[in-house]
Amino acid sequence: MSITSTTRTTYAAEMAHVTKSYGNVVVLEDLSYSFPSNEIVLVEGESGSGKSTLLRLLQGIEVPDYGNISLLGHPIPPSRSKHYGHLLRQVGIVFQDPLLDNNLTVTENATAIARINGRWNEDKVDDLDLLSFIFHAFEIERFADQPVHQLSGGQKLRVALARALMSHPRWLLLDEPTHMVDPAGKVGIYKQLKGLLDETNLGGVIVSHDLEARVVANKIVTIESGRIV
Amino acid sequence: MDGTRQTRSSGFLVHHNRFPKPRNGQLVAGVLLLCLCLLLGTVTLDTRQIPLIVNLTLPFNPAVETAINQLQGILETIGAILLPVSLLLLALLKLAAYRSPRMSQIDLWSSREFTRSGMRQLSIPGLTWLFAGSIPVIASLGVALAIMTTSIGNEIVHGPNKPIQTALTRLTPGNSLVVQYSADMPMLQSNIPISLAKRVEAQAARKRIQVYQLGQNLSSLTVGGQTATALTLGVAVKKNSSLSWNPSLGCNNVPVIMSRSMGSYAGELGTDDGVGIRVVANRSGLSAMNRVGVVMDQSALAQCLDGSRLAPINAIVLKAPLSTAKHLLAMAKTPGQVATVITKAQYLSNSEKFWTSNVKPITNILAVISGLLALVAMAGTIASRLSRNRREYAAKLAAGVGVGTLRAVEVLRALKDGVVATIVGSLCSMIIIPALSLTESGFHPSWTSGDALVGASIGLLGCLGGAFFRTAHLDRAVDFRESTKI
Ligand SMILES: Nc1ncnc2c1ncn2[C@@H]1O[C@H](COP(=O)(O)OP(=O)(O)O)[C@@H](O)[C@H]1O
Ligand SMILES: [Mg+2]
Repeated sequence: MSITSTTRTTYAAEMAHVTKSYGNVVVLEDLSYSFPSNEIVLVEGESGSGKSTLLRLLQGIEVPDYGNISLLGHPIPPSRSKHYGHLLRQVGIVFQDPLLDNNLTVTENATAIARINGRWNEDKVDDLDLLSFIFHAFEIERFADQPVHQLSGGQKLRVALARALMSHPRWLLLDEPTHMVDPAGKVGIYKQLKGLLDETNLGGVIVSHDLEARVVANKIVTIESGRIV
Repeated sequence: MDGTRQTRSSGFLVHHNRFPKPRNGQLVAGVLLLCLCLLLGTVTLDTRQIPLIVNLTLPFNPAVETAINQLQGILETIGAILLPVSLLLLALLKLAAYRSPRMSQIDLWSSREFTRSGMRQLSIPGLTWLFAGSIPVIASLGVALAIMTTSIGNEIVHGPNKPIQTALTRLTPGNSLVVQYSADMPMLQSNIPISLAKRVEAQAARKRIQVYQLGQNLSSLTVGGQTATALTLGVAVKKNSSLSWNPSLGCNNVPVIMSRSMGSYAGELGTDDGVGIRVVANRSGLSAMNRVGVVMDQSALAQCLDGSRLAPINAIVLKAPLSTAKHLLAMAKTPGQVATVITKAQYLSNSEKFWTSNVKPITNILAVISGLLALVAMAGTIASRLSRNRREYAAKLAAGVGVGTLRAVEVLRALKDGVVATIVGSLCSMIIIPALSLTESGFHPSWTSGDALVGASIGLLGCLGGAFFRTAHLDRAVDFRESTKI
């Protein structure tokens, strides 16, 4: 059982000479970087340095002013298209705010998007195994049938991570996932995440200031004056 | 105050004249509103004596009237198609959901609220597997309102016929009527000379056809301290019947059958157009909302209400087919006499036409207005659900769920809401409509499946229309760039 399918590209995403500005504020300038498929790149940097902008460019939510970006071997088209939705479905994304459906249960939240995207089927033993593996790794089995609004911030984040992993993603994009979690919680979450990532050999980008995040990183980079250094 | 004062905050300066001064604007607005209030106060006090009336009118347009009058039929047809089609679509959705996790998830999402704030609605969690698990209050009210206005409209059209229908089936049963003009009906005075009536009766007797005189008088009734407008019917009465009137006793104790809606008791006294009457029996089905039915001996009606034993009567009712009755009239008529034969059905439909063209457009307009109001309100609830769930939708869009998929979820939710609203609205109107009878004697609107279909079309069109309209630009409404931003 595995979360990833092996990718032919050695790089999950490539950015070449990317410049992005808002009005006359240049956020990223002539940034080039290739993200290896099976490595976790931890992006650090001051607040406002453009870390979220970087992730949003990789998701295709923002369009660069100059330069090219490709994701999973495909260039990101300048506007949302079917093909692009298809790409997004292969990326596990977690925002700083877990953005869960508070009224639905943990299991419903974790499986809904994967089900609707046709990437998870409760009739398949493998998919059920994946669910229990992830729930077990994040220690959320106990809450499986509880509505999400009853959970703490750290527990909600675990559900959001589980949701992202449930779709058999080929790559991960996590934007300050542990922003609202207390220090002790952070240690636990990154430890659990590390266990999962080691098992699955899944790569991705994690944006975080937290030192605790460094456990999961294969590479640590910093954004400074619009570039990755 | 101090022209040179500067505010120091977190390292940079905000110069005093760059800081907006909202309170000045608020002062001006306050004074302005105060002036308006004083002005309006004096004006409204004045206009109590000299009211202001704006009376702009457009010329009557029969095409518009026809269109409005056809609307009920159109809505009924739409409801008759849309309701089963909606149920079919829901059935297909559930069956497809059994086969595919994707359809299953679309079904689940369209049945559940994502956020806690949506939970304030009346919810029936047990019904989530079938519909959306909550009662769409506004849509249900829209359906109930549409059904009520339609049924009131129907009562206005059919209600006035009730006394005459009862008369023509029970008191003076027959299927052909000799009247003055073919367009005659209870609200028009038809005059058949008593001499012609006698000759028709003689002809009928020869052919052994049952025949009844029918007199009518639109009168004013007082009984038991209540006053009402009445439709007094005069019928031929057998001697010795409790209703038979003895002319030698005069016009002060005329026995009548009274409509039960007046709540009078046998023996109670009253007046009918100033003529003394005595209630000998009560009968239901005799009243319309505009008229209380009173039945008396035709000879009393002629002598006491019309002032002469030889006063013309309204109609002669024959228990014979139209052709026979026509033949009979031709034999009885003398040259120059104006009289014709129409069927009972035509007599009643003349009356319905009268009320349809006079009053029905108004209730139809009211039904349309309440329908439109329901549509707007339903679109509003869908809009508020979208804004309530913006972030939840944004998260789904960001995870690669298509805009079309989310639209389908909302349209399906609207479909479920529309069906539930139809059921709930119909049940509510079933309870409310009988209660409307309390407001006026003889006013008995009834709930019919046809009216319910009008409600169904309003409910379904409202919910579906609102969903289509509001989700047309779902990605823009959700603005997932902003909503997923931290
Ligand atoms: N939609 C926007 N419009 C204008 N400026 C923006 C927008 N989004 C981000 N910025 C600016 O871009 C810079 C980088 O933002 P961001 O990538 O969110 O930083 P962070 O590293 O804290 O995640 C900030 O100065 C921010 O003000
Ligand atoms: Mg950020």
